[in-house]
Amino acid sequence: MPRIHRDSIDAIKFLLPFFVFLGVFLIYPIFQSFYYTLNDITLSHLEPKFVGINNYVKLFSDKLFLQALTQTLLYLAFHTAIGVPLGLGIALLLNEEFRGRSFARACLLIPWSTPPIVAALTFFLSLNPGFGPINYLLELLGIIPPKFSIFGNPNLALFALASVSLWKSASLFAFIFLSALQNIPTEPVESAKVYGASSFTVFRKVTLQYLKPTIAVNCILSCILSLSGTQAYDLVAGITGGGPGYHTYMLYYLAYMTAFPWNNLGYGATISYIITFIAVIFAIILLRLWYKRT
Amino acid sequence: MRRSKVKTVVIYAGAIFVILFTLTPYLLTIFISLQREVDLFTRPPFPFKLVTFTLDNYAYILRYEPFLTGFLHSALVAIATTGFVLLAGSLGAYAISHINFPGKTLLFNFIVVVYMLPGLAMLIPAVVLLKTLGLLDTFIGMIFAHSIILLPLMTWFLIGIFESVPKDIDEACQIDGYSRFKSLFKMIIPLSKFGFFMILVFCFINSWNDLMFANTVGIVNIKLLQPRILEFMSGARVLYTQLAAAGFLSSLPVVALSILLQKQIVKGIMKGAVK
Repeated sequence: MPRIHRDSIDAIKFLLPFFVFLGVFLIYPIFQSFYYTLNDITLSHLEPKFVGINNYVKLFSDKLFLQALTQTLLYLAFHTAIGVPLGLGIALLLNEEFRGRSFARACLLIPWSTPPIVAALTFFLSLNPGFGPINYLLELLGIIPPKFSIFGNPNLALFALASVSLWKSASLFAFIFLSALQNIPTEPVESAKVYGASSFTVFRKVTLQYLKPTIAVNCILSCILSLSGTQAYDLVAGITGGGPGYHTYMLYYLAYMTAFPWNNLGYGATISYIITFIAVIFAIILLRLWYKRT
Repeated sequence: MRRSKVKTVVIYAGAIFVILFTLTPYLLTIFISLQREVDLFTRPPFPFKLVTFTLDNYAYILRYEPFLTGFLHSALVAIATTGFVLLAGSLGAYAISHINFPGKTLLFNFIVVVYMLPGLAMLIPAVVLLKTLGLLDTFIGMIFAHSIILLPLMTWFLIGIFESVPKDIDEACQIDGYSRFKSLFKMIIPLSKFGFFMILVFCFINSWNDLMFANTVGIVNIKLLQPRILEFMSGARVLYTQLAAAGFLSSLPVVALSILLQKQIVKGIMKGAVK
C-alpha cells in the first residue's frame, strides 16, 4: 500500500472520535443555530416558525439591545484601556529580579484560577454597603458617602463590574506580556544603553517596538473577554443581575437571558451571532492598524 | 549591575501593589467566612475592629446537602470531561502533528475559528440537541456540554505540545514495529508529560469553573457547584458568612492546584493555553 494512502487511513482512525463528537455536537448545531436566527423558536416547543430576517430587523428598534450594545462598548473600552497597560506594568515588574518575586507570581495565579462566580462573590462581599471592608475604607477616605452601594449606582456599576473582570484578567495579560519580554533579544537594548540612551528612551524605542504584536494580541483578547468571555456572563449574573434597572446589561448577558430565561432561542441566537460579528470586526481592525504601522 | 535607589523603591512599591491587588478581596472573603453574623453586621467591619473567629460557617456548609452534592457533581463532571477531552484530543492532536494527510491545514484553521466563537453560540444549539436526545439534565449531557468547548481548545494546545517531539522519534518507533497507537501512548505522551499534565490541569480548571453551561444543562438532577454559589448569592435572604465559606471552598481545588503547579501553569499561560 502506498505510504500516503496508509497515512490518510491512519489519520482518519485517529481523528474519528474528534470528528464524530464535534460533528454531532458542534458543527451540525452551529448551522442549526444559524437557521434558528431566521425563526421564532422556544425551548419548550422545538418547532421553528420561519420569520425570515425579522430577528435581525428587530435589533435596530430593540431599545434594550441598543442599550446593551452601548454598555458593552463602554465596558470594552474601559477594560482594554486600563487592563492592557496594567498587565504590561505587572509584566515589567515581574521581569525584574527582586526578593519575593515568586510569591508575587503565585499571588497572580489566585485571581486567574478563581472561578468567575467566586470572584463575583468576593467583590460582592468586600464592596457590600453594610459590612464590606473595602467600602468602609472608601467611606473613611471620604471617597464615597456612608452606606453607598457601588454596584447599585447606575453610573458606576458598569465600570465596577469591568474592574472586577480586570482583577481576573490582568494576570493573564501580564503573563502573556512577560513571555514576550523574555523573548526580546538583549543586544539592541544593550547597544542602546551603550550609546547613552536613558532607560525610558530604551523602553519606548526598543522594548515597546518588540512588544507591539503582543499589545495587539492582548487588545484582541480583552475585546473577546468583554464581548463573550465567561466573565461577561458570570459577573453580571452574580453581582448585579443586569441592574440597577438595565444599566449593567451587556450583549452576552442579554443574549443568554433572551435565549433561556425569556425562552426566545431564535432571537438569543441572533444576538450571539451579532457578538461574533463584532468580535471579528474588532480583531480585523486591530490587526490592520498594526500591520499598517509596522 | 547595581540598580539605582529610585528603581528599587519603584520595584518594591509595585510588588506591594500587585500583592495587595490580587490578595485583598480573596483574603477579605476568607475573613468574612470566619466571622459570626452578629459581628459582621456591627460596624465597623473586621479589619477595623477585633472579632473572635469561628469555624461554624464551615461546619454549616460541610453539612449542607446542596453544597456537598454540588461539590461531588462538579468533581465527577470535571474528571470525566478531562478524561474524555484528553483521550479524543490526544488522538486528534497526534494525527494533526505527526501524520501527513490532505486537509490538515483546513482542519487546524477550523479549530482556531471555533476558539473565536462565543460559548453561547455553541450553547444554544447544543441545548436543543441535548434536549432532543433526552440528555438534558444528565451526567452524560453535562460532560458533552463541557467537551464541546474544551475539545477543540485543548486539541489546539496538544498539537503545539506534541509538535515539540521530533518526528524522527515517532518514525523510529514505527520502524521498531510499534503501532501508531503504541507510539503515541508509549513515546509521545511520556516525552511531553509536563505539557500534557498542564493541559490536564487547564481542562479540569475550565470545567470546574464553568457557570453558564452548568446553569443551563443542569436543571434538577445535576446541580454543579458554581450554579449553587449563584443560587446562594441571589436568594431571598443571603447568609453572607456561610456564603463566604462556600465560595472559598469552591475555589480551593483550583486555586490550590494552580499554586502547587505554579511553574508549569505560568509556562502554559505564556504559551496561550487559556481563554
